[in-house]
Amino acid sequence: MNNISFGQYYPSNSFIHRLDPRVKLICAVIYVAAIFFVDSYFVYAAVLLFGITVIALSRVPIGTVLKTVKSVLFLILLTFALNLFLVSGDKVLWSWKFIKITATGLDYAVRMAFRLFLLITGTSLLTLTTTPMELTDGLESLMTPLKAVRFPVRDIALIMSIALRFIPTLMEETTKIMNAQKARGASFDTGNLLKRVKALLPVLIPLFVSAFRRAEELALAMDSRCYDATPNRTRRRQFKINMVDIAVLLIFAAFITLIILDKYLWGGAMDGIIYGLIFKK
Amino acid sequence: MPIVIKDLTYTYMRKTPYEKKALDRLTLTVNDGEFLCIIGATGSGKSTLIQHMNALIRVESGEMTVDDMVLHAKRVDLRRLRGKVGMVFQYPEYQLFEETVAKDVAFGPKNMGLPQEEIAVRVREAIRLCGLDYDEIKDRSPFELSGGQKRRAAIAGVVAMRPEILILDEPTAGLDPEGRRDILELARSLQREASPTVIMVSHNMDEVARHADRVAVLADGGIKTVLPPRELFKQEAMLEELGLGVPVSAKLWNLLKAAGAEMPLLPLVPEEFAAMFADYAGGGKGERRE
Ligand SMILES: Nc1ncnc2c1ncn2[C@@H]1O[C@H](COP(=O)(O)OP(=O)(O)OP(=O)(O)O)[C@@H](O)[C@H]1O
Ligand SMILES: [Mg+2]
Repeated sequence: MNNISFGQYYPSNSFIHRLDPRVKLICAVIYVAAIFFVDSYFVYAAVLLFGITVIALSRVPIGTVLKTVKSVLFLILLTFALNLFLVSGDKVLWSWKFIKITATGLDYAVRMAFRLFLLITGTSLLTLTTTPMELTDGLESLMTPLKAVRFPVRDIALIMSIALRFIPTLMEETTKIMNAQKARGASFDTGNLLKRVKALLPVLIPLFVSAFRRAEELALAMDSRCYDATPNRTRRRQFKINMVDIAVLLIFAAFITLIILDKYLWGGAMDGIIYGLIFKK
Repeated sequence: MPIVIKDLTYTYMRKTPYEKKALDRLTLTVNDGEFLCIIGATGSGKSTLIQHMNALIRVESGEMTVDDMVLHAKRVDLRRLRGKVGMVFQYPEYQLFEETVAKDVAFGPKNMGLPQEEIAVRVREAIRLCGLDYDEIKDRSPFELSGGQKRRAAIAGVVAMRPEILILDEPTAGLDPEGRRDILELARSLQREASPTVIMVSHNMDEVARHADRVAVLADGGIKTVLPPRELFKQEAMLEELGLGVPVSAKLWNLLKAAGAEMPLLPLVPEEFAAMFADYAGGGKGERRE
């Protein structure tokens, strides 16, 4: 319980950390979408290289980035195995009784697993280099146009930042209550599932009581400071796009163009050329 | 059943950018039957230290024994240890969760695997020891008690385990002066009747002076000094440098001394100061000596 640093933010002063959070958010969303268009192995390699460069620039240790993959490693392996055994094709590479692995299956499995891997590492880079508060502020700013359709952008953003603000507090509280109950002989990691769930009650009840108490205090504090009295609040932190932000957006756009070109124009021709170089001679 | 600690070092969030050394080669012995107070500025490591004493935090580096139990060993009989060393956290009332006070107090003994009759005896005894009326309170919800009663009920939950060592982390935080006095009296009476050794973390020097047999001063994760309060509070400059202070009576004593009037013994509480001063100034008859 002691080693949870919420939001996994990794403090550093790299230029990636200092980028406008809106730029990072836009890049992250486009990245997630673009990954599904990656077609050839050549472009996979290019994305990987790009990712490694960004990680190096962000000065987040590569081990810290890889740790985020660990939690979804099972998912990646499962995807790999499912594709490997279930996708059928003509060229059988290996078979045993009713199980067989085809070239198409292997190709699919590698691509899907790699795609997931890139997806996780790429998006975790966003949360590693941006504080949760910057993220919500950025989101709020990006959603501003929705105000035109009377979408309560400000309230949603506030709800998000309050939630984010209180997650570490509640986690600390959980640790404290767990410790207090452990000191009274409670144990949370023995017995069967039912027993373990029941063992959590002495933690959950005080936790809820305290969460409600905090919510009430917060509501009072907000009321007494006239939250909701003015329609157009100004914010303390103003965003300003600077040249670096624009440069990053341009580089990213170029990168996405490469992915799209590879898929729709060259039709994976790059791979053909590279295969040729490796195998023909 | 002494606690012996040697070179205890502990780091929070090891190997992350948030790494924080909370204890640094701390050495301390807690004697049988003493009332030991632990003082130190915020963040000096007091809570971290006491959480080691019943293995809520496991020894990472250094040595620590509680009676015959070796806490730096790989395996520790946690159930036995937690029965020996009772821990009352800051704001213990936040750990109440059962429907009735009696059930809540029974939580500890139940976890110790005691038979039903034994649990009932202990619950009744603990509630009484904590200054509550068993018959009146046993079936009430802990959430509807007054602040002071809640705290007593929560302390009873620890007392019911009959620990030989009772540890209290700032037990008077958030109480009014009368509530504070009551809880401290409770700690004293628990020491007499149930748990012979008491360790108390406190920020209030007047409380410390009044109750402690010895005072351990923590600074930057280490023990700065361990002294009886009468000796310790002579060192006002040292304590102030650490962001701490001295009790009122010691303050006056130090001021008088600086003004040239030295009374032989440092008084710990205002009553004692008054008596000593009367003695010093007028031979106890209240006359002025020019
Ligand atoms: N769970 C934790 N994770 C990370 N750091 C922690 C944790 N708990 C305490 N610390 C840090 O360890 C140091 C010692 O903390 P500790 O709680 O032991 O101090 P304390 O003397 O009890 O302070 P206080 O008087 O405020 O209760 C502090 O700098 C604190 O920030
Ligand atoms: Mg503390």
